[in-house]
Amino acid sequence: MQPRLESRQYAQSQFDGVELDLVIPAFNEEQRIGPTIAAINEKAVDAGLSLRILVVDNGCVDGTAEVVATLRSSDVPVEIISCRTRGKGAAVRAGIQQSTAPFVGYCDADQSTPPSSVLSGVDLVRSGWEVVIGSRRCTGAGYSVPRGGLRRLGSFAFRAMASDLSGPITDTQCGFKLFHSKVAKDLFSSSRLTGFAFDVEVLAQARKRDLRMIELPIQWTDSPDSSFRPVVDGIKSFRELREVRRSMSTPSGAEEWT
Amino acid sequence: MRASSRHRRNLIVIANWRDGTHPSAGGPHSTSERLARSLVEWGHDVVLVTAAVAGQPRKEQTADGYWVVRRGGTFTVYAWALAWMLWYRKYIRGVIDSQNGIPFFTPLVVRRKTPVLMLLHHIHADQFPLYFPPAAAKIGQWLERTGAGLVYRDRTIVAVSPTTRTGARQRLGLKGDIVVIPPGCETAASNLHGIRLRSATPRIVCVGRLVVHKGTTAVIDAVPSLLADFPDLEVHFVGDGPERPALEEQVRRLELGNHVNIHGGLDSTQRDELMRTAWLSVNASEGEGWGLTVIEANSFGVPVLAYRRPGLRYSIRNGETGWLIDEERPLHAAVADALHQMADEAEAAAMAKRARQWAAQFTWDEMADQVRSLLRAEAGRLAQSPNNRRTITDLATVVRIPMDLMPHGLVPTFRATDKCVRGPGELVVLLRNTDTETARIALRRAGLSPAAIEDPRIRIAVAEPVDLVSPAVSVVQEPRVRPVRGEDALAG
Repeated sequence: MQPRLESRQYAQSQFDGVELDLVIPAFNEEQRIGPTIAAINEKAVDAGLSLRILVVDNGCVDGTAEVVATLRSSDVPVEIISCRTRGKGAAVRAGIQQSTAPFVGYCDADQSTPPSSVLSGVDLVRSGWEVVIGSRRCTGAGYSVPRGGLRRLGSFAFRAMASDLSGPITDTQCGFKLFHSKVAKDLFSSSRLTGFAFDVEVLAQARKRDLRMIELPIQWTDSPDSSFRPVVDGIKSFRELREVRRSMSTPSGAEEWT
Repeated sequence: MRASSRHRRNLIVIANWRDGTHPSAGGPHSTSERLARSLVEWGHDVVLVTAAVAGQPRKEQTADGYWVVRRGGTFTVYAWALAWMLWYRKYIRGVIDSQNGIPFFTPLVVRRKTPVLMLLHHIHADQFPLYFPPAAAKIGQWLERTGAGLVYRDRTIVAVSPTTRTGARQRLGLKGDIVVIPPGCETAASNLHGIRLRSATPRIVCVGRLVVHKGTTAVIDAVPSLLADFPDLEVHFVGDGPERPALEEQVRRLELGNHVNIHGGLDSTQRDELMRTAWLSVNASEGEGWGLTVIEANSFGVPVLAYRRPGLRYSIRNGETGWLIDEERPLHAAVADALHQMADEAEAAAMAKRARQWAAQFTWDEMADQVRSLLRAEAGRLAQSPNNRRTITDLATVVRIPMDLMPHGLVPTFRATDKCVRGPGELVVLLRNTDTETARIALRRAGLSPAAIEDPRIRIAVAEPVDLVSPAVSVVQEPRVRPVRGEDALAG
C-alpha cells in the first residue's frame, strides 16, 4: 500500500525498471540539495544507471520542497515525501519504506560523498554484496578537508563505544550506504532508532543476520554547516547506543511482545 | 469598559503600538484595524490597545464598532498595554499580539489558557542597529529573539508570508507552530467579477515606488528588444520616488518616449483604471515581504511576471496566475514569451480569470476568519495538558481529492487549522502539521470512506511554501471547519 504521490514519475517508476532508489534525508537544505541532486543525476545518466532520487523532507521550514519540485520539471527523476518524526534515522527509514527498486541506498544532501562513489557502490551491490558501507576510515579513504578537534575526539569516543556492535566495520557513521532492497526493508523495519546513531543499529542487525557486507572507501568532504550539532546530537548519539545495545540483547521472539 | 456584562465576557484584544490616528502610522496598523473591523462583524467584542496620540481620546468606540484604548508612548505603550490586560484578564478570550520589532509579551499577563497569537509582519533583527544606539539595539534584538522565545514558548505564531515563517524559525528561533496567513488586499473582493477592459495593443503596467531595489531600470532596459516583436508596445509605470529623474533620463537615452510612460503617483481610481487595461504586469524587484502589488494586479485580472525572489515567489502561482523566472533568464525574453501567450485571447481570458480567483482569496474577511479559527484551535490546544499536545513540525501536505470521491450528502470536516480550497473538479486541502504518510489518517478522520482514500486519483504531495499561502486557485470559497474543544470559550 504505497501512498500515491503527486508526480507522474512515481507512478511510472514501478514499471520503468529503476535500478536504484537513492534516499536523501533533508532538513532545511534549500541551498545545497539542488546541486547535489543535479550532480548525482549527471553521473547516473553518464553511466547509464537508471536511478530515482527520493528526498525525505524531515520538517523543513525553508524552500527545500520548492527546489525539488522545480528540478522535477526537467528530466531529473526525483520525488519528495515527508516524515513527521524528527531525526535522520526516521527520515531514512521512511524513504526506504517507499522504495520500489531492487537496490536502495541513502546519502547526504550536501555532497559530502562524491557522486562517483554512488556508481562504485552500485557495481558492488550488482555483483552480489547485500550491504555496501561507505567508509571514511578504511584503506583508500580519507577526508578531503581535515576535521576539527572536537569532531575527531567525539567520533573516536563513539567508535570506541560502538566497536562491540559494529565489529570489524571501520566506520559506521558515514552517510552513504547501499543495500539490496529486500534486505534494507527487513533491517529498517527491525530497527527503531530515529537519530543519527541509527546506522549502528542497522549494521548490528545486519551482522546478526550474517549478511554479505563490504566497505567502500569514500573521499569525504565535511560541509561547514552540517545539521549535526556536535554537542547536542553527539550526546544524543551516545544515549542511542545504549538503546541499540538493549534492543540487540532482547532474545529473538520477545520482540513480538514489546 | 462600558459594554454590557454579556459582551464583557468575550473580549478579543488586539495589541498594536500605533493606530490609524497616530501621525507616523505605518502598514501594520491597518492590519489590526481591518482585523478588528472584520471580527466585530463576526460578532466579537474587540478592543485595540495602542499608544496614546495627542488630541485623541484615551478610550473610544469607533464607527466600526470596536474600542480603542490609547495609553503610553512609543516605548511605554508596552507596559501600559500589559497593565490594561492584567486588569481585564478575566474578560479576555483571545489576544492578537502584533510584533512590530518586539512583541507585547502578553502571555505574561493573560491567563495560561487564553489563546495568544503573535502576529509577525517581518523580522527586524538587522534593522535595530539602524535606528537605535548599539546598546539599545542589542536589547531590542535580545527581546525579539531570546526574550520572545522565553515568554511565548509553544504559542502559535501568525506569519504574513512563508518568508517571514522561515525567518521566525531560523533567525528568531521561535518554537511555536507558525501559520501563514497573508494580509488582505483592498481590491481583491470587489473585482472578482469585474469587467476586463484590456487594451487593444500590448500594454504592461507596473506599480511600485521608484527606488533602486524595485528594479525599474531592468524593465526599461528590456523594452528595446521587445519592440521588434511588439512594435506598438506600451509600458506604464505608476508610482514616484527618488529614482524618477534617472529613469526619465534612461527613457530619453534609449529613445523610448513613445513607448514608456512614467506617470508618477496616481490616485487609486486612476491607477486602478490603468491597471484594468494591462496585458500583464512586471515586477523586477529584489524581493518583497509579501507581494501585495502582485495580488492587487491579479485582482484586476492582470497576471504578473517576476523573478523567483523572496515574497514574490510565494504570491504568484507559476503558470497559473503569472510567471516566475529564474535569475539567469533575460527579462526581455521572458516578457516576450508572456506577451505572446497573452496575445491569444482565450489563453489571456483563462489567465485573467485565475488571477482574479487567486486574488479573491486574500481579503480582510478571509484573514479575520482564519485568525478566528486559529484562536479557537489554539484555545483547544491550550486546554490540553502540555504532555498531550501534538508535536509541532513545519511539515504540511497538500491533498487533491476529486469531487466525485467526496462522501454523498456528507461534508468532510477537517481540522480548524487545515485549509480547504475548491479547485476545478477537486477539493484541495492543505493539512498542516501532517506528513505524506499520516495524510491518509487525516482523510479518514475527515470522513472519507476507506475505498475513496485508496483511490489512485487522490494525490498527496509535500506542501511547497506557496501552498501555505493557499494550496490552489479557488473556484469558490467554502470554509469548512470542525469545532474543536475550547470553542465555547470563544463563541461570540
